Amino acid sequence: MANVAEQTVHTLEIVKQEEIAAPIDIVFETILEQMGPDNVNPNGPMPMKLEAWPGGRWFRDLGNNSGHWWGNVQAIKPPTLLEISGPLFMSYPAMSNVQYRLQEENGVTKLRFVHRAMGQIPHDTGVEEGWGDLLRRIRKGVESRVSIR
Amino acid sequence: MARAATTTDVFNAIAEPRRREIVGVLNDGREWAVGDVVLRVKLAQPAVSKHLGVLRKVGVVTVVKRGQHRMYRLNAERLKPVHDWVKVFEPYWTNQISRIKERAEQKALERILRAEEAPGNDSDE
Repeated sequence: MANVAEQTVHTLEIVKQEEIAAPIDIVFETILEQMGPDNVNPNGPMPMKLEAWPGGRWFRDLGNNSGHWWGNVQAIKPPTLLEISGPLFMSYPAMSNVQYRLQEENGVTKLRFVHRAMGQIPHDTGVEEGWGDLLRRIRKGVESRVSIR
Repeated sequence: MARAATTTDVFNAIAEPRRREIVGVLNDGREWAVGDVVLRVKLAQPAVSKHLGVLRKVGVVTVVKRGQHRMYRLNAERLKPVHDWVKVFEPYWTNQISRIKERAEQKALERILRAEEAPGNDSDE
């Protein structure tokens, strides 16, 4: 079954700038570490793998062939640019472009961060109820099959 | 894909930087006359009126007529969908960038200390 509905594509832009008292090569190396093995989310450590070459993957490796692909390296020019594109942690139809751009002046590295995203945001409660109903039906079906055995 | 009209929803309405600036001006919750907004954002009145019209159509601002003036007020509730999306990412990136700064500055300091301690370095003498 296919449903076609007119929906709005939403856009998001987050821009941040930071001045860091460190040489540009150290800042770039640190970005790779923080995006990779030292990655954390607000709930605690969440190690990621970042393959630091064009097309390299940025993903969570949970072992046993399970995990979560966040994106690919779209552009990398050490030590001035890291650009990632992918869905990040959005489990809905959306695409992001994330850029870290670095520039060193007088021993201070200026970091400019941009995250742009576009996609559909699942805030429609009707959709959620639809999924909830489907899951209830699946669970009921599974339970009935288990009880028949 | 054709670009969505600015009045499609709140996301498209505030995609324009000038409209975000106007939202910032109205952020104090007071009623603002168009002329006062013009003074703050330093744009021509027709442009400000047009931007306010877009914001009104998506419900981000409300308007009431008081005598000769049309008074605009921010309806912050309409910005909630934007807030809901941004709040997912904002803490993550803010946290990551502050960790990058902290760690890189620590490494830079360690590099300086190593260079000073290196054999043959007589810079202190």
